[in-house]
Amino acid sequence: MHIELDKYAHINSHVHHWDTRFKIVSLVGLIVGFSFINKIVLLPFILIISFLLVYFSRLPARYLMKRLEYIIPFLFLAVFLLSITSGGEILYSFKILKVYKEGLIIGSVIFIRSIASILIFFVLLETSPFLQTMKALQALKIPSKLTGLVFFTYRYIYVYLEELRKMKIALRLRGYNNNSVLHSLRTNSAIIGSLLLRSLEQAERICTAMVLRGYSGNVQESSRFSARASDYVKSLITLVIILVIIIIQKTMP
Amino acid sequence: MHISDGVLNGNIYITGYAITSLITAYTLKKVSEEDIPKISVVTSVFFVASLIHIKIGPTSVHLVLNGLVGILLGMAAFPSILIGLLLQAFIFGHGGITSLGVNAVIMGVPALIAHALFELRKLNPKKSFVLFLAFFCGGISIFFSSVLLSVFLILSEKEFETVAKIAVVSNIPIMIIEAIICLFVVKFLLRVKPQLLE
Amino acid sequence: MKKEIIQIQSLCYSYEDKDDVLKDVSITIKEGESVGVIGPNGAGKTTLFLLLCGILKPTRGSIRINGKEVIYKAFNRSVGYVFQNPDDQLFSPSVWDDIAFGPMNMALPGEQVTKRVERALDICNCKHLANRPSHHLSGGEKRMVAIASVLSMEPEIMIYDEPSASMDMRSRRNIINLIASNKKTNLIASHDMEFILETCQRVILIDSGKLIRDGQVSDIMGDFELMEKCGLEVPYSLINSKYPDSRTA
Repeated sequence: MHIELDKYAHINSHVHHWDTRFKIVSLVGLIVGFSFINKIVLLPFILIISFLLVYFSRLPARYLMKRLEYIIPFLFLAVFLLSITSGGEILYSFKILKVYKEGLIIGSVIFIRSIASILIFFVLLETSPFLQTMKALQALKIPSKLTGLVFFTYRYIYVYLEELRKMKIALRLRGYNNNSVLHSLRTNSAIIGSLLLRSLEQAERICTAMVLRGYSGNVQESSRFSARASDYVKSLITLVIILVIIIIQKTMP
Repeated sequence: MHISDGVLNGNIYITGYAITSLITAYTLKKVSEEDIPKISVVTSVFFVASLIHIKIGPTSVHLVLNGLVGILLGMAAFPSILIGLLLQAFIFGHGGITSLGVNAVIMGVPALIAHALFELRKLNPKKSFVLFLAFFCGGISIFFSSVLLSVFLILSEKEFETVAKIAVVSNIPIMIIEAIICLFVVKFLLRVKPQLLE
Repeated sequence: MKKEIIQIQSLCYSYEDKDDVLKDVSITIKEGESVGVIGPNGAGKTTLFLLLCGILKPTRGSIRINGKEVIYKAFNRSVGYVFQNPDDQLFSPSVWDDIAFGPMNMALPGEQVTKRVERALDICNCKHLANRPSHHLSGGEKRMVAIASVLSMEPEIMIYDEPSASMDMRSRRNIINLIASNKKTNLIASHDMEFILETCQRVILIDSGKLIRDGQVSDIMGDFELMEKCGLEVPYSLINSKYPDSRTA
């Protein structure tokens, strides 16, 4: 499994230059705002907002499309299931299959909302280096135990990914193929058990090494964030957009 | 068993975050700072293990393992799952930032239930009973997760009712697989390092 | 004439993010030969082995084992690979299970599996470990069990990646004896030149993906200039011994 991070994190754009703390709060707020929208007339607007943000971030559209490809089948499945299972008015029927109007509508609302939200999330994700995003979360006063967990976990994911990759090769070289379900379950359980044991033994060594270097339970990360006027302006604009779309949604009949 | 951004109504996402904050605050109090490295490495193993695919016939399922997290980490299972989901959202980028709270409840609460149920082994420390508990915890936590998922879906839009039922039923094979995996892993640990489960 | 068991012809390999890990490598190995593969870190030794096992797919060129092209990603029971780190290989709750894993995947009948496990345990002097969990073994024991878990598949070709790395003297000696008494075709990558000297007659020197030399152990490892150029050292025993060939005999 190849995980690629920070590929487009160093492009020069207004979104990239937005203070990561402000960006997290504003964009998450925007996605939450989107999730209140269910009036069909408003849907084009939230799509436009997300397209504009992608445009301003200067992220390559083709790359974002490729990432969306993973998600779209699931969304189609959801729309399909909703449109054949709920509602009263039948739009179309084919033998036992009936397409309902209400289900189709709500399915389409969810479809557009999801695409818009995920695009915003991509912008949030791709316009700052991963570690900076995590540090920004820390600067946002998330409990130190949680951020400690994030950093350690992130650090060791790559170690165990590599171990898993090697173990899988070793299995294959000894003729393992997951043909029989029970054999595959037993083998995978043993692998998970082994990884757990090794990780726990490693945790003891990590702890000793940390204590030897003066660790007393608190990982202090110095945060080097400083907000400029432009950061406030960008966040303020986003906030206004969120409020406007929610007010329109609420006041519409 | 994930809910993505944009699927649920905004109120539900906010409720999810509220519940998650409360449970996280409570469970983190039970965790001491020295345990952070240990919880982290176990979390990263579970993160990696959730990438393992089990082939059943023509399809393959990936593992959830929240019951096992509960058994191994106890109260710390909840923050562990929360962090796992956060990293998943950011590393794979398939979305899930507004739904993080909801997803943490869906996956984490059953882990805490599994932890409580596994405590029952103290009543009867016989190996066969412990293994039975492991099997039961592994399966029941998937069941609870799918039920919680359905509850959130229906609370958000009543149109989701049938879809929610389908979600619970389609998780039955996964329930069985997770139960067996949980049984085998606990059996493995009992044999190789039983102190871990004491 | 013994038959040619491995035929590698103008083999090239590039990783996605690294070009020319192997450049135009051609090697022929006869049945029963023990061949050392030496070269600095990153020379391409492990890549060569993974290609032989069919884990990687050649960018160009061909690999034939017993006259048949190696099929990418297919299980080849004639090649056994002992990993550099035994932890990559051992994962079962007991040593016995680990050694039985390969034969079981080969769908052998139960008594055959038992027989093979016992034979492999016997060859590696690990009988007393059979019921122990693999996790609790010492480094040397782990290595022996890892070797046994490959030997139990009874492959024609054994590939060892750094078999003596981080072994104590006694474990290292045990591995040397085991390989020396093994009549199979062996391929051994190592930075432990003395180890190669004791286990191999022929040596292949690779540097930056290119086959630099292929020949008698003493000829190559005794060549001061060549070894220096590839960042290696002439083994001590070859510097001092007048008749280096007598050691490998």
